[in-house]
Amino acid sequence: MTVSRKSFLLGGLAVPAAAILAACGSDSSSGTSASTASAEEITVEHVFGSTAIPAGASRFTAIAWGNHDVALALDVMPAGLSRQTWGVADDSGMLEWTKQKVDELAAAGATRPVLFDDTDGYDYEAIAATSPDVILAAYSGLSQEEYDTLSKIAPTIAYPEVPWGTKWRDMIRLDSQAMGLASQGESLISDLEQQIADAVAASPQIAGKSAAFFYMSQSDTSTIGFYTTADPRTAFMTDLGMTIPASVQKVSDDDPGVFFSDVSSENADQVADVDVMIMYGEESDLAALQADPLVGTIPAIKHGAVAFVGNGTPLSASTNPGPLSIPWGIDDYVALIAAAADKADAASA
Amino acid sequence: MTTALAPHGPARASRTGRQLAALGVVLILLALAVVCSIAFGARVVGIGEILGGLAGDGGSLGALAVAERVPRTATALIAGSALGISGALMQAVTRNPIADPGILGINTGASLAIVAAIAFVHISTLWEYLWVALVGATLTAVAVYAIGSLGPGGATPVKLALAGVATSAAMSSLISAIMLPRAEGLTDFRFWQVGSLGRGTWAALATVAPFLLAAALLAASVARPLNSLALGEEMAVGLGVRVGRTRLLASAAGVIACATTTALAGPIGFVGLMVPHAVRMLVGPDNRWLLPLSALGGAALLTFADVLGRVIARPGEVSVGVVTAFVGAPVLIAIARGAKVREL
Repeated sequence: MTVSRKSFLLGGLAVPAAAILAACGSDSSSGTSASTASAEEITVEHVFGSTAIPAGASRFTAIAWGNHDVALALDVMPAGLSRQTWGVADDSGMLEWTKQKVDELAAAGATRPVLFDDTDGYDYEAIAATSPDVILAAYSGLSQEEYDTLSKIAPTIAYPEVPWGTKWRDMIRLDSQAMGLASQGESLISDLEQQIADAVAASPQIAGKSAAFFYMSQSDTSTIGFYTTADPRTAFMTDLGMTIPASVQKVSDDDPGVFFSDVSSENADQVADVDVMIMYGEESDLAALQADPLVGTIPAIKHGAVAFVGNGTPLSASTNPGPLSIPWGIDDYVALIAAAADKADAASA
Repeated sequence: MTTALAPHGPARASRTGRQLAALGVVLILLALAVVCSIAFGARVVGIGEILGGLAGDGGSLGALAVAERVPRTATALIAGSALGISGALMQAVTRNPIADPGILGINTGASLAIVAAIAFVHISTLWEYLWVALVGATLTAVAVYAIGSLGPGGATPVKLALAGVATSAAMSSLISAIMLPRAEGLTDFRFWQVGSLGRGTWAALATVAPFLLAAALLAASVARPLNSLALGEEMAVGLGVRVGRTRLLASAAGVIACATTTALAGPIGFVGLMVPHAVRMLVGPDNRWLLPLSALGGAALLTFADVLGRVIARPGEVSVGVVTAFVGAPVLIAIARGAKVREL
């Protein structure tokens, strides 16, 4: 069965009035109640084809990264979600913003979600045990095999084109459509866009600067890694009013199927057009990078125009944008990038 | 008739000539590897930049890149020779044609120890890596030997190899279990899964040099008794060789060489397997020739592998551990098949 993009979008917009009212109403935090269930079948397209979601779907289980935050941001408690291990300081298995919202919905009476451990592959039995109506994985790297297995448990929403290459807007759109909450998803996007615009307005120096998200090891500086525009981390730079450097754009265009690439540091000049580098790590890592004869020739490194977001900290996890992590971390993130942009300005002055 | 059946030639005089010729061939390969390693990389450089880089003139990025290739080449040479010696020693000690630090799980053991120590006690310096790797490699060697010796017949080649492969597989799973939840944002972990020469610096080489020197001296001291041991244990005892001591020293040298290389460059497989076989075809089984030529051959092979990894994925690089696995896996199959036929 094929559905044209147009009819698919129209179908998504035709959300029953009851669902909208329920989501806007005061009792919306009742979570997985039938109030969020759509009255008619919805079809969502993704890389493995199209998934038909039967009318009345109301239990949503989210796997991989960030998808559960879409449900939570729409005031729907997921039945289950993947345990997060990176960027989590306590043993809750949830990032700070996820935990806050889960606590909030739980206080209002919703049942706490089951957490799956998927570090060594998806725990299908545990996922099935949450008896979901829909499995949300719009941002993920599902293989065909994993998708097929999950689809036997419940209709599953995979990524649109590139594994781990779903932009935050697409993640919200796909997941919210699958939940029968497409228009709420759109309002969520507009709301987040406003929050980003407010945060950026306070730091005019970042506007127009070229930036990308990099990934380097201090102990092995032989390669320079970066996320392409397929990845939400680098793509987010344009949301901040920054530009993607031509070097990163070219690699992204040449190989749209990957979200990460690297160049040998012998070719450090290939990324010399980056005004500001965003990178995992600590400010103290800069000296080692500057001391490297090859990596140190990159202007952004030389000038110290690098925004280190930490390593395994909540802020470093929030740089992978999602509907709850953006409100949580956007001000701090923009402030870090603005400080790096100041150094780029100082060097060119 | 004997001559026709023995391809390596039985006559002592012609064998020495053959060994000298082999030495010449290996030295030429080594020189070629060094030249390639300086001249070719992820960046295409001109002869002017090569000469400038070697002269320490940092005028252009090309010259800087060439200058950086020098310590990297030295790392490849040293790591490769250590792996070559380590493989030759392990094949001699276990009298097992498919013994290798990789097959016996020794460098996986070293890696596991390092990965665990990074994750749980946050070690970060090469000096710490070295000691942790030595402990991990030694424990693995003892464990694999113990497991391989169980049951009747003692430590036969096949049982040792099986014990090594099984132990190695189990430890690889443990490495993954430790790494997966911590993988993102931690490039240092990725490094311990795939061998790479990218962190080779003069300072790093200076740190590992004493260990590798010790391993080389130990290896040299056991070359002759190992020859006697190859004739069988009883014969060796008859010739006055202290069998246990020889095995222990040779194993220690092999483990130190392999653990040190792993601390320096991560786990690199198959070099220790391939090189001694190739060298044995050239010079025969005499360890006094086999050990030094395996060192030189290992150095040449690893350097070539690194050059290949640098040029096939421009503008990026492929880690040398990936290259040696690609080249080495078919060789392992060929050797294993050959060994089976010989046994039959």
